[in-house]
Amino acid sequence: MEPTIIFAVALAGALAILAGIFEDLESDTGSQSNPNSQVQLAPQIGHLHRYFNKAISGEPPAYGFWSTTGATVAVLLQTRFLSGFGEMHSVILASIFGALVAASILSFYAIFAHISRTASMRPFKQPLQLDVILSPLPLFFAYGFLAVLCVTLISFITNMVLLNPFPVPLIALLFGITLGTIGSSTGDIHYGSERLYQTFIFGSGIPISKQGDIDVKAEYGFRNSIDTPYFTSRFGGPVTGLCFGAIVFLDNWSRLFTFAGKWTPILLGIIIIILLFLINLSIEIYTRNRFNEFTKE
Amino acid sequence: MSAQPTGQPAANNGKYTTTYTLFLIAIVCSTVALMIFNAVPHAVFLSIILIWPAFASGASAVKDISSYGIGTGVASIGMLGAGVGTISAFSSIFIDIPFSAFIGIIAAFVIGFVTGLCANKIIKMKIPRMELKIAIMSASAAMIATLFVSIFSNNIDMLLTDVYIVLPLIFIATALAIIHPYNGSMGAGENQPRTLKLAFAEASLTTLLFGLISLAYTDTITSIEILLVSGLGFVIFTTIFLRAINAEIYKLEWSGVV
Repeated sequence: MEPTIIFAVALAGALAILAGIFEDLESDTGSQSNPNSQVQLAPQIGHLHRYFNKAISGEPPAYGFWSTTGATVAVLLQTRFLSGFGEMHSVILASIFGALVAASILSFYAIFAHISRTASMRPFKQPLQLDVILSPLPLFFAYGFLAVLCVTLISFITNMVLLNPFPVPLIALLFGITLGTIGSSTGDIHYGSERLYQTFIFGSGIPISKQGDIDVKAEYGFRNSIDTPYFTSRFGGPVTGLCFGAIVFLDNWSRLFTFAGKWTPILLGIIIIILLFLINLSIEIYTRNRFNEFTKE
Repeated sequence: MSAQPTGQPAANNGKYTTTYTLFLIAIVCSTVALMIFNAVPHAVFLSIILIWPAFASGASAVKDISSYGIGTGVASIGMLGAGVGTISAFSSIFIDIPFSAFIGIIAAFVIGFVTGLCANKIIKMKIPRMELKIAIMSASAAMIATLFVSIFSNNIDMLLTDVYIVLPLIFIATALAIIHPYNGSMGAGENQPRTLKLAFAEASLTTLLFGLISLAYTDTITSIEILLVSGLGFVIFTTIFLRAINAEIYKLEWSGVV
């Protein structure tokens, strides 16, 4: 086994953890995906708010778009940089330019979504405040840049070192959609159903009657989209990173072995899925025994 | 700042263009765009201007389907339509007859119609005229994808397949530009003129991105034409869109207590 490939597997896993953390924080900075429905509903039941309403068609397609943009620009630039900077430096430099382009497009889409959705809230007297747009803007630009940079670098590693036959932008599209899905399903729970509903009992879920009844006031002043990553970076972000990192790392790790020929990664993959299923089952059984079943109030 | 802060929806002066009208405009404009590109490759800036109605037609179809209570399914329905359209357009790369580009667009319309028929009859979504709307969405996406694959391969018959690297970007960028105008404007005060203004702004942003990509494929003059015309369009449409926002917003302020 070559040391380069082992190093590449470890590096891809580490970058995937970082990508997950930054992706979740970026989406939380603007209440994208699941929390977006709650932020959207809030003015209709009388809670005017100062959250950024970043409605970009759900995280999976949006992250597919940013990652593919970053990777495509990077691939096309990398061939130009190759002669001047060498292989490794050209990849890193090109990825930075690709991530910059992607983060700029992200910002335009986010601003358009916020102002247009706020204008549609006219019947409920929701005002458009410019500091609500301008203060989170640098934050989610930075998080988006870092997330796209990590996904682009993972795609390059997968294509050039781990010799995946697909072109880099297609790998980035697949990784971007995966990353967005994980951020939407794993990370957003810690913002959408906890941070926005801190007045309700922990873990009580969001019944229809509570939809849109979000916290608009903070410890001091009004809740805003800059304080949210401060909360979600403690658990939501790292958990997203762990999930995406585990997927990328375990998938690449299973390709290091050759004991059963071409079928080795598939066999190892099935074993990993069975193990994860058993771990999840035991956690759920433990939780139900420890905290009892769901009860009616 | 709005002149009448009454809390009522802003009147949109009854302006409503049907999706069918927009689609007819898009068909005519896109055909002319492809013909212009085929005849005079250096007049590509005209093709870029003429492809923008296709984005508006797709966005209007998304709005029509989604206003029947789909809500958060906007993204799903848009990805379905754009996926059918762009994949049909990409498949026509491999057909080796003159003007194969148009076959891709027609195929997108037919496959989109069949997909809508399946959704309405088999899954029983029961959305009025969903078949036609998905077909319109697919055909619009196919027109956009066809023009840009043609531009990147410098050839309307798209016989050069070196552009496979940018196909994922064309697919996802077209899909986002079609679904986002309605998705980003949803709410009680949403109206079609503003959604279409946003569609044009995002269309020019998307063609600006494609112009950046085209630097790697086409000669420099073509790329600069695309970049200039898209940049100018982006500035103009964003200004028009911001004016609409300014007229319809309840209250515009720097900061304040809500």
